[in-house]
Amino acid sequence: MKNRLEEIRKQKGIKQEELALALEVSRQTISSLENGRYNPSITLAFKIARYFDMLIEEIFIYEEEK
Amino acid sequence: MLCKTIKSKRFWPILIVIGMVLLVFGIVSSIRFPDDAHNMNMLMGMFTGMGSAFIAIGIVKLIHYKRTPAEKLKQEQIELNDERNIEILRIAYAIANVIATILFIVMAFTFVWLDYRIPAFFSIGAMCVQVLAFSIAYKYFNGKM
Repeated sequence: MKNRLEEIRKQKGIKQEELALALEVSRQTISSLENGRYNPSITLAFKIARYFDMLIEEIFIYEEEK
Repeated sequence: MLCKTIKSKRFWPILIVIGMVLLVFGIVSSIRFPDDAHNMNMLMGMFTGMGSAFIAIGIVKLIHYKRTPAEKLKQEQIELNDERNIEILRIAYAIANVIATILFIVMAFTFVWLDYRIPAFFSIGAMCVQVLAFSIAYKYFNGKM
């Protein structure tokens, strides 16, 4: 699953640490999400979407595995 | 479940109490056994050591909670509850579990080869308990989810 987290975060001028604190996750989790190494739980995906006041689909892009 | 218990501040005083009970039990039993009962004295020494370790860990953790600023404690709490960390822990536990199973099998074969019957039975028993625990946990969580 791809995501636009890094792009959106940078657009809003938010640091990884700030986002991590607001979402109550570690900074490494934010970093892993941005690098696409980790897919969030549905709860965290909702938290991220609500934080940025966006829809989940606008942040996370689901791609069928080939 | 276990992680949540360990995260709780109430866990550490309980650990200290368990440590004290083990320590007292180890010392008192060691005094009561004759000097030539080496195995029992060694066993009681293990109880004493484990009790001391529990007390030390509990005290260190309580001091840590008292002296660490609230902000840092919150950060630690976040790290503990972090879903990625929890997932990493689960994967690590799963790998450790597979290795433990392999180890029990190797130990059972080695003990039989060395003609150590009782340790071989212990290894096989431990392996059976592990498989049983897995089955029970699987069934329990399968019903819950």
